[in-house]
Amino acid sequence: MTEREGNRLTGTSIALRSGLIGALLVTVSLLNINFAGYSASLMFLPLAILYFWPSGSNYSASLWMIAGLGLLQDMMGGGPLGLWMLCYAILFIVINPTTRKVGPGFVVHWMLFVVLVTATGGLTMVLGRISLGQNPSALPLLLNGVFICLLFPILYWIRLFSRQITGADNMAWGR
Amino acid sequence: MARGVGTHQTRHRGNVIRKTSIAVIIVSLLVFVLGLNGRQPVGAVRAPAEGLASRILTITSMPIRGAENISTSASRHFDLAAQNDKLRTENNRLRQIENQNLSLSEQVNYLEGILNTNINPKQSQRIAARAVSESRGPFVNSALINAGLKKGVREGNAVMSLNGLYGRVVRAGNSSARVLLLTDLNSRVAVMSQRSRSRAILTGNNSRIPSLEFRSAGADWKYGDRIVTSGDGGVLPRGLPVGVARAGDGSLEVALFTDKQPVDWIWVVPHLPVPAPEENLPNPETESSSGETP
Repeated sequence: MTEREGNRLTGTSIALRSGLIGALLVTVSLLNINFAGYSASLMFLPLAILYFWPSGSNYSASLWMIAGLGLLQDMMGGGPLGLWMLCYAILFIVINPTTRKVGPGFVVHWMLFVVLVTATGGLTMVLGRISLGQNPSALPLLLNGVFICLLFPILYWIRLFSRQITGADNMAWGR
Repeated sequence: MARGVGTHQTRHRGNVIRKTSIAVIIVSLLVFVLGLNGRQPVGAVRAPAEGLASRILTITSMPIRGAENISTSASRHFDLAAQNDKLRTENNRLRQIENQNLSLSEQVNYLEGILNTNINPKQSQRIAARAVSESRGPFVNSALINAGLKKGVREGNAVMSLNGLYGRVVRAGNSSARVLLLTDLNSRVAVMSQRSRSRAILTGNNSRIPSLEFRSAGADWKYGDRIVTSGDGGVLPRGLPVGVARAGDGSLEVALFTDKQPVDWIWVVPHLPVPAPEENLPNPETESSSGETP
């Protein structure tokens, strides 16, 4: 096996592992919590895996995996088919996390995540308008967006701790 | 030389990125376009996916439902005495109604016997299930339940919660089904006022309060009217409790009974839709063959 083939295999393996974590997040995003007459869900949670997608992964495998995660969310969530699939694919192509170099600052990550959530909200509004034939409800979209942005510090620290525990800091992925 | 190899690799990588991106976008667009207007191009895949989601969510939602139940019961404990008084009064009132009901049902049975008819056919047995996931998102208001074709759930069946009508089944898999809630943008249910029997269509708008549309000009509607299904169209059974009419922005809205508490257990009401006459024509061949037999 040549070095190039080895790298490709490692990159694909990393993409697959990230895809599995993404599938888990998609499942969690379907759960809803009713409290005091209000219903909350983590609809935007899979964006976390898109944002934290490891930089050492294979681009092609990663993009197909992300589109697959979107399709999974569409099918499991019962919403318009292809909406999340198209949305995630576009966002992944635009931000391309496989080659991204971001400074280590937490605040920078948070700001970028807020931008990503805003872009996702805008994109899903447009795609939802096309799919439903009328404007989707903006309020749940806004609330879910704000909720996931507030949750970002927890997601960030979970990822940081998991990297430290698994020793991923010393490996190619996760940089 | 090394720079040449590096440039070649970069160009090759750029090509791969471009081709993959275009391929993924085309596939995604294709799926999106095929799924427009609620079409189900991958219905055969969607039902198993929902079945899998239902199994996983049945387990993962347990702690959440438990926590919800704890918070609900904790809040109820604060006013136990007041609730007790209220229940006692209600109990007395219900006893009187029970007696009235008994005498009324006897009268109805007697009249049915005289007329040789049955105005209220007995409801078939209801199917109990759990709402394992409820999506009240910007695009769809639906729920996933952990009962499907194997238990007798069929597309179009009404779904009840403890308090009233919850929605109707829009897709049934082997072990799970997707329920379109009354609040969904695409939900339309024929309803009537229990007091005046005026008809309307309960129209979902992705908010918690659906509205009453297509009311006749002279129809008799009042705030506080109890809304039940009218059974018009033969899609849903008649008389399922839905909610209470209240004032909206220039129209009538309905405060749903299901909004009173989080929905956990639900009951699917099996109901055979009444077929349109043209769909229920006798088969001429069968008729003629049966006519020929002496």
